[in-house]
Amino acid sequence: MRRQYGIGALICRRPLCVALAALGSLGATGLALADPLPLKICMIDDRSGAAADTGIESLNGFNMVIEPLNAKGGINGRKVELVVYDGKTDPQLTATYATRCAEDDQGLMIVGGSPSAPAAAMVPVAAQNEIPYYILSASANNLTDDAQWQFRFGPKAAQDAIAVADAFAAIGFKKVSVINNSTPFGTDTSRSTIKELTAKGVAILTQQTYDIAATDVSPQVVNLRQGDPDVILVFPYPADGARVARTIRQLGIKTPIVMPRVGVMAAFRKLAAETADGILVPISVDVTRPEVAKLYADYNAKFKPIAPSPSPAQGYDAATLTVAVLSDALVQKAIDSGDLAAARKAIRDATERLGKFQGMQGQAGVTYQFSASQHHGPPDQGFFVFTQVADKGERLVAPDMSQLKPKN
Amino acid sequence: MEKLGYLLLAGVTNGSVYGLVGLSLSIIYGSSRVINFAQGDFVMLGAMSAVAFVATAALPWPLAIAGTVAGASIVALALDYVVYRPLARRKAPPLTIMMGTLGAAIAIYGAALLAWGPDQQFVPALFSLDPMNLGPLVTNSQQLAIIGAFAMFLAVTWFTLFRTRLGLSIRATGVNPRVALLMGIRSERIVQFSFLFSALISSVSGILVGPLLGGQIGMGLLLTVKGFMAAILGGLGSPFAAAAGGVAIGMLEALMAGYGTSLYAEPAIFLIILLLLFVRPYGLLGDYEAQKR
Repeated sequence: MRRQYGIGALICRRPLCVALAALGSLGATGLALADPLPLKICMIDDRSGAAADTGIESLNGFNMVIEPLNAKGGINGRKVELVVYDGKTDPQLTATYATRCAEDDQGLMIVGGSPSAPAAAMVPVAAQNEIPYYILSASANNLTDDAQWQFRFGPKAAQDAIAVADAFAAIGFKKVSVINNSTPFGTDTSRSTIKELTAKGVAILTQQTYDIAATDVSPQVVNLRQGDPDVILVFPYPADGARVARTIRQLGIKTPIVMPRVGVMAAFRKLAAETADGILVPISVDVTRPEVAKLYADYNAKFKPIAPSPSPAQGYDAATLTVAVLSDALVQKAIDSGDLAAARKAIRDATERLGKFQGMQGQAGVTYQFSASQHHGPPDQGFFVFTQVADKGERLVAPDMSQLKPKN
Repeated sequence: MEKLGYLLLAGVTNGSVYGLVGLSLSIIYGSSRVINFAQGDFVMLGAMSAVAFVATAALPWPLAIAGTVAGASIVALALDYVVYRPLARRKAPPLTIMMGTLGAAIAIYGAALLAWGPDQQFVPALFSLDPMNLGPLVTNSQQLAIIGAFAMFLAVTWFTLFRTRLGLSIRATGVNPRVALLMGIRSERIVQFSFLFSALISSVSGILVGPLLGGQIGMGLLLTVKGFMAAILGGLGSPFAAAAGGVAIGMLEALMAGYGTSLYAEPAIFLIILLLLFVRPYGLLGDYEAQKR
């Protein structure tokens, strides 16, 4: 029985037909390879849920780079497409969106992840699908240990601890009291900080822990007074942080308070109001740098005005590196070839090559330190400055650190 | 002595919050033998309604309180008509009805998410949060108001249960609903009253604790757990025992934090409660329940 080769069989004999068919399929493949990949990036973060502020602000910061770029024609004439998902601070949902990005959306990379749990849920998805993943503010220490595909822009919890310990040592504080809530955030961050302080010879007079459902935290706060500490360190969530601040001031304790991370959050400052004033917060955003001040002025002009929190800067820096990486010649070549796996690998490699740059976080002259062996960007030294809550919690100002002195 | 004073005051304040939720839970349990897992959500509704009526709609406090209580009452009636009554009429066991209240808690949470969103809200304070002296101690009016509300609701509950015909009906229904029905007591109405009265207690509690705890739609769960612990420790069958259980837990927490280790206070308190229940399985004051069995 004669085999059919479609139209080819009508016009030629069998060997020729096979050759034509092979040429045709090669041609088709060649055409597919020539189709460049769209510059599609998935933003997966929390725009509702407990960490909604961070997710919204970092997306806004990201768009402050991407929108002007697209308005000018994009990268080599191609616009950057954002696929935005709301993970709702739900690790399982976040991981599902990451999988959808990698498999269905054919995204080149994933950006997002502010609380640690959703960020951690995306790490195995990134590894399994071999897709680059830029983590933003998630602070769990181990998120970038032995990292292959994930890179982090926000400082990890241990770096807050180092910044606090360095500052206290520089001021000469010798006696510290610590109070934290009983959540993993409260206990882990206080443990990291106590370890760093102890290593620098700072005495921990007491560590107090409270339940976040406790209406009255005065038993713990009364104990903070013992030994007359030079400074009180607080590791709360926003609502209970306000309760602690109010109780400290209610009991007439004048000791300086340092509240890493939560102290700058709008929810905390609104709930604590005037009792938040004077609280010091180590922060990775130095608004005395002119370009950083301009970023926040532009942000406040365009979006809902905020006090400088790290999230917009992290989104902005992630976008800056994204654009640099996507503009890289090797990445462009991989994108032009239409090979998604090769493009993702090229993006990862380019991030490692191009990842030493001055962003909007850190002190002047301090750069991110991404490399093949280092997927955590912020360095241990020079990344933090201190800010101070003022005007009934309404504003964050640069503190006069020279006013801080040990009691004796 | 000053330290002990602060610890006792904190113990009474926190214990009053737990006691108010425990009292609410116990009132419903007393008439229906059902634990209402949505009870903490009525506290949340109280706090978030204060946000809506006072902060958003700028209503004066009397109207805001009336609106809050009215809203909580509507939800309580819905809980009765949609969950309790259909299941009870089909002879569902208490455990099934409890699962129904758990479903209701999830539904209330979802509705609150749509209404107020997920963020922490600033709840306006009915009383001043400024420091005030109470002898050698410093506290604020809002905290004292919580203790006052606890005492007031205890007194109202006692009066209702032991000095009115309605109270007699409630107690009779709690002992045996079928016999109470034969005696002419409409047990469904009694259960409905208990849902409404508990909603009143919890929503007013929400107005009072909201400025201190902060308003957030998930706040009900933690308070339900604490209230349930209080009711179990004190004795679930009696509202006064549940209230006493709340104060006992508050005191234990404060004294443990003040003189022991605050880091392990919570597991230590769970352990103490467990040991107490080994000795008195029906709670500290649960003799009535024990006798019934």
